[in-house]
Amino acid sequence: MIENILINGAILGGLYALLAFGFTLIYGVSGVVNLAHGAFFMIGAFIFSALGPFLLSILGPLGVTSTVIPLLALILAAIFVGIAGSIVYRLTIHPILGDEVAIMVVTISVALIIQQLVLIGFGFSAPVTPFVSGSIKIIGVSVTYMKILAFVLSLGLFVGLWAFINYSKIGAAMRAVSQDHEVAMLMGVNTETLYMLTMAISTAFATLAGVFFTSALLAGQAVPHMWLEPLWASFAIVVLGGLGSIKGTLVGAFIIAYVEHLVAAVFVSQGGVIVRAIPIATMVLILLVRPKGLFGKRIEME
Amino acid sequence: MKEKVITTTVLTMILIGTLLIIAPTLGVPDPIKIGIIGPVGLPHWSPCGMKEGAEIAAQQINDAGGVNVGGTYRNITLVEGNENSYPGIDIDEAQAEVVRLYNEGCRIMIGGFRTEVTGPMIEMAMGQVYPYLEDPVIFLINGASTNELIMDRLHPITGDYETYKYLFRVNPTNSTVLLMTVAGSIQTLIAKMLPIYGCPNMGPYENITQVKVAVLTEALDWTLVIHEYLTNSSIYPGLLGAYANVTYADRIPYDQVDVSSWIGNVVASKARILIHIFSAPVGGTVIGTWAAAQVKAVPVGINVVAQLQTYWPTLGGACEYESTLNFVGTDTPISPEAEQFWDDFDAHTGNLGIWPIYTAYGAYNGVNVVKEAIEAAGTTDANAVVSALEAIDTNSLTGKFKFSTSPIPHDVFCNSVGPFWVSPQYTRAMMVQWQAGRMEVVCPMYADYPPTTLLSYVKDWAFPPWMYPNQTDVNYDGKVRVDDILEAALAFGSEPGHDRWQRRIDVTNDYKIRVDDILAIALDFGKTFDMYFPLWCDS
Amino acid sequence: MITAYLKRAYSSFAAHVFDVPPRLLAFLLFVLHLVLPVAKPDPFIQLTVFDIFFLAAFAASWDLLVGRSGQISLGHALFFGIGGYTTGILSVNLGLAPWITIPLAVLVGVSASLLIGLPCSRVKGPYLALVTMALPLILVQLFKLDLLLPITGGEAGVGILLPIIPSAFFRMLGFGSRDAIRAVALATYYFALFLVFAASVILYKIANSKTGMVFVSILDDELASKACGINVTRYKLMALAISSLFAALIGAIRGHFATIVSPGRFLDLTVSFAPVMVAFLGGIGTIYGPLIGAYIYYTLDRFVLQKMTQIPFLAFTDWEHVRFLIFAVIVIVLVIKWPRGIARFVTDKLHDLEEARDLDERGKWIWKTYKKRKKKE
Repeated sequence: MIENILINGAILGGLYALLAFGFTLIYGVSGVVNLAHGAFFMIGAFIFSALGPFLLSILGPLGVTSTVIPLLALILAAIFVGIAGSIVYRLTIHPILGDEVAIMVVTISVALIIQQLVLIGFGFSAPVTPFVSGSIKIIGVSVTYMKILAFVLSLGLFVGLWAFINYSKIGAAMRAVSQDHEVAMLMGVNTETLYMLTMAISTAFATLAGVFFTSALLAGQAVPHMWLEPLWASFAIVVLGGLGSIKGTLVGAFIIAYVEHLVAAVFVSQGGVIVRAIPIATMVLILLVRPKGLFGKRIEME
Repeated sequence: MKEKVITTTVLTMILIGTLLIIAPTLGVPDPIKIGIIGPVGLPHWSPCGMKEGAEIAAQQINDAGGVNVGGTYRNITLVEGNENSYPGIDIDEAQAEVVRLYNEGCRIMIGGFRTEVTGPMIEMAMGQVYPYLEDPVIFLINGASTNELIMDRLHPITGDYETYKYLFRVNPTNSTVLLMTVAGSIQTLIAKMLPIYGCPNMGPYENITQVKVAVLTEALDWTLVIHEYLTNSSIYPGLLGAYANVTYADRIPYDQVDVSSWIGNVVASKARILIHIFSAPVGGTVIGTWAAAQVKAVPVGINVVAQLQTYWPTLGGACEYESTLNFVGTDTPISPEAEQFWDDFDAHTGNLGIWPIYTAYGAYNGVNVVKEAIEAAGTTDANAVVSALEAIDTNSLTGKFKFSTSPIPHDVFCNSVGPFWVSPQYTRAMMVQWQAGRMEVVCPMYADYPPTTLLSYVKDWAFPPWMYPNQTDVNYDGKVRVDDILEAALAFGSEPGHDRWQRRIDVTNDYKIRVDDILAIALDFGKTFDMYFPLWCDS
Repeated sequence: MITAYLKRAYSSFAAHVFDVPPRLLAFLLFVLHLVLPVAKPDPFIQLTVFDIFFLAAFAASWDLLVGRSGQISLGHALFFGIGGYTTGILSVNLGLAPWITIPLAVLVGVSASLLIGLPCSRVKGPYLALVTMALPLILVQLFKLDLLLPITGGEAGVGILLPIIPSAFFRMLGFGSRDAIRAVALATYYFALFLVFAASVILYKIANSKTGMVFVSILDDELASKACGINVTRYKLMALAISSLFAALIGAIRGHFATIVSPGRFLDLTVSFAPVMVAFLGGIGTIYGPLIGAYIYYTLDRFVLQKMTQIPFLAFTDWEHVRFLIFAVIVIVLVIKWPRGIARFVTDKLHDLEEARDLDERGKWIWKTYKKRKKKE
């Protein structure tokens, strides 16, 4: 029982960290509360499911093995959604930058549009098959290879993005803008392009998280209404960890994941329903009790 | 000048258009308008076929000359409505659709898939909610199985017959009958499982005290009765037979995305049968998670998405071994009419490989029943048609058809549950199992009791290979021999859907039979196993 | 002679049309609604107007809170739902009359708002929006627990609520069975009309009273308001309480007319977003704007887009989803391009027109005097 919680909680935590990173990044850099984050998570999984057979039909005859195709599809889906995300940013969020409430209304409308588009284009579900099959026993718990792969890739990408932000030139620009965008502009940072780039990275990471989630945890079934729950989860994580804090995101992700698994184990009956309310309730409690979260240094509430 | 020409052209076109629309209707008696109200508009869900089934029926009736209403022949026109039950349940919009259909002249409506919107729609159609429709509307429920939809309104003592007598249900059988059908099938299933999974030390049949059963139902109204009966054994002792013992039961929200915690609980409960009752797409997620986790439990129950033929490719074949209630399996020849309907439906939907599910049969039956009732009544007056409907006893796609009289009136009549199909064969659901891309009927097995004759199209239940003690013993004879390797070699290279595909040979569970499967079998060469794995004897 | 007369007639007409006092407009609208069921007894139009009433009043209560006092609530369904569920549970389980349960529902709604308002006054802006957006969703999850299932009915909800206007009353007065139903329909319509009209007028009066001015001052600059000696927390709570009072009242009455109270109808995210959308359409902060917004929304939804499905080359199967999509696009375009809404747009235009006419007249006057001077010279 405990080992089950330990291992599955860790895997969920890793995926949550990947999911919430993009969310906290766009918030930290441009101050946008992107309620469409979950929608990009969802559409990413759908695009991946469509790209797989498409690539197979094109590259299959050329002799590309079927193990490379999912990875290729993953990268292409991330790029595709990243570009779409930056376009959406430019068209909808950019004109109202600074008005947080208008941004919330607009982004949730974007989420609804994406949901409807997916419903029209793909129907009520699409298969996102795992890249690898088979499973292994770790301390008595059967874990599929896909879960391990998703976990490793998630943490790897998390660390990679963290390094990118901390050690690259663009990362330095991002940090500068997040601290004071006017001064950064004076120093010659093109904030508009930077915001678009950040949005692209954020949505691309949401796509990766979406594909990993659906293939590793959700039995390979992507459904159009699976955007609200990831959204709440990333909110809870970011608020718990402290808005804009990368370390906080990682810690918050694991805390939320373990709490979910613990609650599911304690309340055997009705557990799932209670688990569903955990991220939302955590977020509300943290905002009301300790709005700066665990690692938030200052709170930017006017 | 130029403007004049344009104006003249536009006016002429409008005139011609109007004439073209009006001309065919001149001299033809008013059509009978029937409203079809269901979860239409969802591209991959509309194959549930409520609209298409009704269209086929209406087309056949119109081609044959129309409905004979006291001497004049009138055509049937269908008006489509949307009940707005997916992805969110929107009651206000559903009620507005009823009023819209009424406004467009429909006094007969067929439909209502989700109980949560069907109840409010009935209230609206029966003139109980503002703005009070003046003419009576005959409402034939097609899709929602909840007992209370009819029972609350037409109960002989507590109901209000005068207000609600226009309410009928054509499809499916009510939740209680569905439950009994599932329970009867599970008794059959257990009888099939016992020789395979009997306890080694105690002999296959004797001394088995319990077969652990897990129950997962959708948190919607129609499963309430089913959930209660399955979980509270004091209501109906022996419902699932002498051996079954429900050890875990829970409900899943219809819009749940991640069901792994429930499946984890099923694993922890060591259940060997998983009763799953679903109508929303979450049912597919449950089965996908079940297959991915290789839960040692046979999934049996009701899963509406599993009745769609597109379900198999959507799940990538992971639904193999899942059993669900359905009206027929994949092209099952239960009757010549049903076979014909199966082909008609395919032709009507453009040969896309989309096949009907119960709502399509219900809509087809509904339109035909209405036609016969109107012809019997000789008028379209609602009260006369209701009396005719009450007296109807006819043939339909799914067997004979009539409405029940007691204890709940106006419900579709069913006279047989369990493994037998009793004569005369009235509408009943069948248990079908997904086997190699096809839904095969596994229960009922017998028709006409007594004497019992095995139905020709019935297949045997198949069980997930991971429920056997050792998958490498692919022919389950207790020892890995060269014949196991031979069987594997014969299926080499196949995938789900191929003729040679056999799920039990896929030892590595990757839905492809490759050399690694044969290797795994070869590595176990010569090993012997207990034939009977004590799956439900472990504590 | 005739041209002069026509000119005079036109100028007097223009003065009366373009300078319509809001009161006259409201009165005209009211009269229009009074005669509607007699003039056009079409059930579909009646139902649509009925839905417009409730959405408009609900959105007006949202507008007082958000448009006037600046507390962003994206979860106003909470109070609407609490109102509906309280009266529903009391009415169904205890069999109490609507005249008792509706005030109780309002009481519960207001107390809930105070309970939430105190901790929520700590958070502002988007964070407040988030917290309020989450609350109805948490309540839904609570209502779906097995423990509460016998009371709340889960997904199916609570039903069937007792009618506010029982047909038995009209039967007692000697109406026949059919006539009684017709009478109830009319009574229901007028009851809703008067209720919504009264609620809107009261909300408008509050918004333009001294208290309303304080709300606006908090919206404009909280710090400055504080410096002026305004107890900001108290006034914020007051705005929340007034708003939730109306939301709960309208929710409760909606519940009785709809006969079934269910999560999808009373606590869903779409219920929270409907007033936002309608207020954006009509014009935030105007109180009467949502009524115009609700009219546009329902006309588009139930008449224009519905009819489009019957146009042959537009009749693709997933129209229902396209409809949803169109509304989302409209909201985005409105928020970005036209954030002040249609009511504001119209008033602005009228204002501009007035100013232009003033300018024009002044210009004419200058021109005349100029000419006169020239003549003199």
